[in-house]
Amino acid sequence: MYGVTETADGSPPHLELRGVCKTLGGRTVLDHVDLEVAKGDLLGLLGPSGSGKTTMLNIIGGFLSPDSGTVRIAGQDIVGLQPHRRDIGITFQGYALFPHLSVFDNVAFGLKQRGAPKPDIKSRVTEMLALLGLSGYETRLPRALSGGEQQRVALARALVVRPRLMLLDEPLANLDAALRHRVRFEIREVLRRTQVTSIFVTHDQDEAFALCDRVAVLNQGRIQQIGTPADLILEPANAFVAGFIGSPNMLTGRTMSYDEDSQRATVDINGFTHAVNCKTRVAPGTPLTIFVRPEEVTISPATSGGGPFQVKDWVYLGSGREMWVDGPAPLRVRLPNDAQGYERGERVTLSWRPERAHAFPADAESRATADHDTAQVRR
Amino acid sequence: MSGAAASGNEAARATSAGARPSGHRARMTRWLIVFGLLAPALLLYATVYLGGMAIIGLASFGLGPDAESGATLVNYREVFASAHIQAVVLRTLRVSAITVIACLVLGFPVARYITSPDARWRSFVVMAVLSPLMVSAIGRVFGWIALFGPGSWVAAQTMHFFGTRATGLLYTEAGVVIGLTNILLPFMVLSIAASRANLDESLLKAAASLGATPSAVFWQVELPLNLPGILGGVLIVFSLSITNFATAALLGGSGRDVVAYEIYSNILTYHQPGTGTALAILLLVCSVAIMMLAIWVGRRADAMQAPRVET
Amino acid sequence: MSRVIVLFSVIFALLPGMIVFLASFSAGNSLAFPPREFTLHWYGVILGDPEFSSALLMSVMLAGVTSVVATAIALLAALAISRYRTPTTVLIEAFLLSPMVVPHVVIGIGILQIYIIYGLRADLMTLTTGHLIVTIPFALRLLLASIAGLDRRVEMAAASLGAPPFTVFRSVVLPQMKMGIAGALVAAFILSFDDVSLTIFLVQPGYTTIPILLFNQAENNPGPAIHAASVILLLASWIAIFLIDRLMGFERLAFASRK
Repeated sequence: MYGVTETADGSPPHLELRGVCKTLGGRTVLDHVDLEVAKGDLLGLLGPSGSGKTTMLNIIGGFLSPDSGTVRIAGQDIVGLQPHRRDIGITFQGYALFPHLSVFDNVAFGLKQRGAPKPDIKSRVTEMLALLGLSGYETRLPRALSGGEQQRVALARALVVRPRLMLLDEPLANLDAALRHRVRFEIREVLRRTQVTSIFVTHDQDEAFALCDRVAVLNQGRIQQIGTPADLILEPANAFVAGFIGSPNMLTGRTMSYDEDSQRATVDINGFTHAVNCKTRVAPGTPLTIFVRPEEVTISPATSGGGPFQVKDWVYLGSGREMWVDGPAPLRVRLPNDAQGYERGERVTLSWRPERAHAFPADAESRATADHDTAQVRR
Repeated sequence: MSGAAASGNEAARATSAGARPSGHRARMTRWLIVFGLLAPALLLYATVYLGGMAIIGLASFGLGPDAESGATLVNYREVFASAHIQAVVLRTLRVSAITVIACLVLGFPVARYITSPDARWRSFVVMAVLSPLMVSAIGRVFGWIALFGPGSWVAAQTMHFFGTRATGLLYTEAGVVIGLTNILLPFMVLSIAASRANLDESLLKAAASLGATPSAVFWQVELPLNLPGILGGVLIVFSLSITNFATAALLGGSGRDVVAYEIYSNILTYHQPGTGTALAILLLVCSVAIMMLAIWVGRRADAMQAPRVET
Repeated sequence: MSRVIVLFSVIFALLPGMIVFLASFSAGNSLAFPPREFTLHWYGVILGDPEFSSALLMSVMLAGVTSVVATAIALLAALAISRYRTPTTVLIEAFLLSPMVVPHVVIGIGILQIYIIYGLRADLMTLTTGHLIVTIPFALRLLLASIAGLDRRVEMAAASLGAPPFTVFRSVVLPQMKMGIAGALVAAFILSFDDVSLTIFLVQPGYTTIPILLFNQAENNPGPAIHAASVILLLASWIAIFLIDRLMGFERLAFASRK
C-alpha cells in the first residue's frame, strides 16, 4: 500500500492514519491517505498549495472530521474526540499568540486549562522559556515581539504541556530568509531535546529537508512518497516527486530500448541519445518524461566535430554557477564557482550518470504509483 | 491587493506626499489651493455650526443680545436645582441604560453571526439589522403605534392578561426603549463586528488545542478580545440615546420627557431659553465626552490587533 | 440560542417598516393592526392633500440641494485633507467630522438662535445650511475613504506622460471616484430627507418637510392616511439603500458611519 513504510525501529506507530478521505466543497481534498509516524520522529508533510496538507492538519488536530478512515494516536482512535481533549500541541502560521496576554500567560495557558497548581506552572513555564532563550520576556506582550520571538513563544506554549504530538503549520513561512536558517535550527534542537513526535506541514522543500527525518510528499490529496530526503532525491517514486523535489530539468524523449535487469532505458531526446533510470518496464517508442537535476549534469567542451549543445548564458548564484544550455533540449547545469568557464556560444557535450536521471512514462504524471501495472502491448 | 502591489502604492503615496516642487512661490500657491478647497466648508461651519453653538453657550451664561445683565450662572443653578429636571435626567439615564443593555443582548449574537465564516444568511442579516441606519425612523414610528398602540391587538392582549390600560406598551418608557433599541442596534452591532473582524480564528483553535473547553475559549479568549468593541458600542449607544429626541417624543407618552425633549419644550414651547440653553450645553458636553471616550477605546482596540513586527 | 436571538433581531429590525407597509393598505379607519381589507384609498388621500404635497416638494428640493452642495463642499475638503496632510489639516478633518458626535438638537437650537438674532425666516436656504452641517460629515467620510482607495501610481504615470495637475484630477482621479461621489450624494440626500431632530427647530408653519409633518401629526391626531404617508417617506429610504448597495455595497456605508 502506498505511503506506508516501516517505522524506524519496528515499534508500533505513534500516529497512524488509515484510509482518511475528505471532500470539501465538492472537491476531494484527501484521497485514502495512509500515514505512520513513529514516536519521536520528525515527519515533514510537503506539498504544493491545494495538496491537502492543511486539511490533514485540521483533521489530526480535531477541527475537521474525516469523511472516512481512522486516526489513531498510540493506538487510541481520536476521530470523535474534541480538539481540547486531544492533547496535541499546535503552532499556527501567524503564531496565534493571545494578544491580550503576556508571554508568561500565553505559555501558561495550556497548563492553566489542565488545572496545574501555580508553583508548578511557574517552574515549568520558566524552564520552557529558558529552553527557548526567552528568559526575561515574561511580562512582554506579543505585539512587542519580533517574528522570531513570537515563533519561539508559540513553540514554548505548545510544548510546555508535554503533548503527545506536535503539529507545526508552516513554522517558518512568515520569517525573512536570514532569520529562517537560525530559527530552523532552534526548532529542530528544541524538538529533539523534548523528544516530541512532530509533524511539520510546509510547502517549502528546503524547510522540510532541513527539519525532518522523513518527508511525506503530498499532492492532490494523495501521498506520493514517504522517505528520507536522500530517498526522495535519489529514488523518486513517480514523476510528481521527481519534478517537485529540487528544481530539476524536465525533458521529453522516446524510448529506444529498455533493460529490465538494470532498469535502464536508452532514450532519444530530439536526436540526443543517453541512458536513464526507469523503474517501469517500457516498450520502445514509449514517450518518457525525464528529470535530471542541474547538479547531476556534467559538461565538457565539444570534440572537434561540434557538440550537440551550445552555451547560451550563465549566472553566478553565490552557491555556484548556473549555465543555460541550448540544444536538442534546453538544460540548466550547475557548476561550482571555480569550475572551468565556458564562452557564450561555445559548443559543448553533456552527460549524466544514468541512475541520476529519472524517467517515467509520459502519460502517468502525478497519479503514478509503484505497483501500477504499466505493461505495454509489445509491438 | 497583493503584498508587493500594496507596498508599492504605499511607497508612491509617501513619495508624492513628500515630493513637491520646492520654493517659496510653490509653497504659497499650494497653501492657497488648500485654503481655497477648505474655505467653503470652514466658512459654513464657522458661521452656522460654531456660531450657533457659541450663541447658545453665551445665552446659557446669560450673555448675548437679549441679555439683561452680565454673565451669570443662574441658568445652570436652575438646571441643577430643579426637581423636574432632575426627574427628566433620571428618566433619560434609565431609558438609555436599559436601551444599552437591550442592544448588547441582541447585538452581540448578531455581530458574532455576521463575522463567522459559515453564515449562510449573512448579507441578508447585515442588510436587515443595519437598515435602521438609513431607513427613516419617523416613517417606521407608526408601525410601533399600530403594533402596540391603543386599539391594537397587542394592547388588547396586554389588557387581557395584565389588566393594564389599553395603551399597551406604547406611550411608556418601555415604548421608548423599544423604539430606541430599534434604531440604535446597528451601532452596537457595527462596533462589536468591527472588533470581531480583527479576531484571528486561529486564536480560538490555539486555545482549544491547548485544552480549553468551548466555554473556556469563550470566556478567556473570545470575550476579552471583543471587549473594546463591546465597550465602544456601549458608549456610542449610550451617547446617542441620551441625546435622542424624536423617538422619545413620539413613543414616550408619559415617558417622553427626556433631556432633548425638555430642551425642545423649554425653548420652543415655553420660551424659557435660559434653562433650555444651559441644559443644551450640559448635554453637549456629556455626549461629546462619551463619544470621545468611545473613539479612544476604539483606537486602543486597533492597537491591540497591530500588525506583527517583522525583523 | 444565539441563532434565535439573531432571528429575533432581524424581525425586530424589519418589523415596524413591514407593519407600516401593510397597514397602509388597510381599509379600516383606525390605526389598528392587522388590517381587515386591502385598498389603495389612503395613498390617494395623501397624495391629494395639499399640505402633504407641498411638504413633499419641500423635502425633495431641500434634500436635492443639500446633497449636491454637501457633496461638492465635502469633495473639495476631502481633496485638500487627503492630499495635503499636515497637523492642521488633520485637525480640520476632525473639526469637519465633529457634527457626527454632537447632538442634533443642540445644533438645531444653535441655528435657531441665529435665525432669531438675524430675523431670518425659514426658507430653502436657511433650511439647507442647517442640513449641510449634518450631511457634510458623512459625505466627507465617504469621499475620504474613496480617495484613500485610489492608486496613486496611476496619477504619477499620467503626470510623467505630461498631464498637468488639473487634467490629472479631471481625467484620472475624478472618474475613479464616481462611485464614492454617487454614494455621497445618495447618503446626503437621504439623511436630509429623513431628518427630524435638527429640522424641527428650523421649520415654520407653511414651510415644513415630510418627516416634520408626520411628527406633528403623530403628536396631535394621526388619521389612518398616516401609514400611506409613512410609506412614501420610507420609499425614499428603501430606494436609497438599494442604490447605495449597488454603488458601493451597503456594508461599506454602514462601516463608514461608525463613529
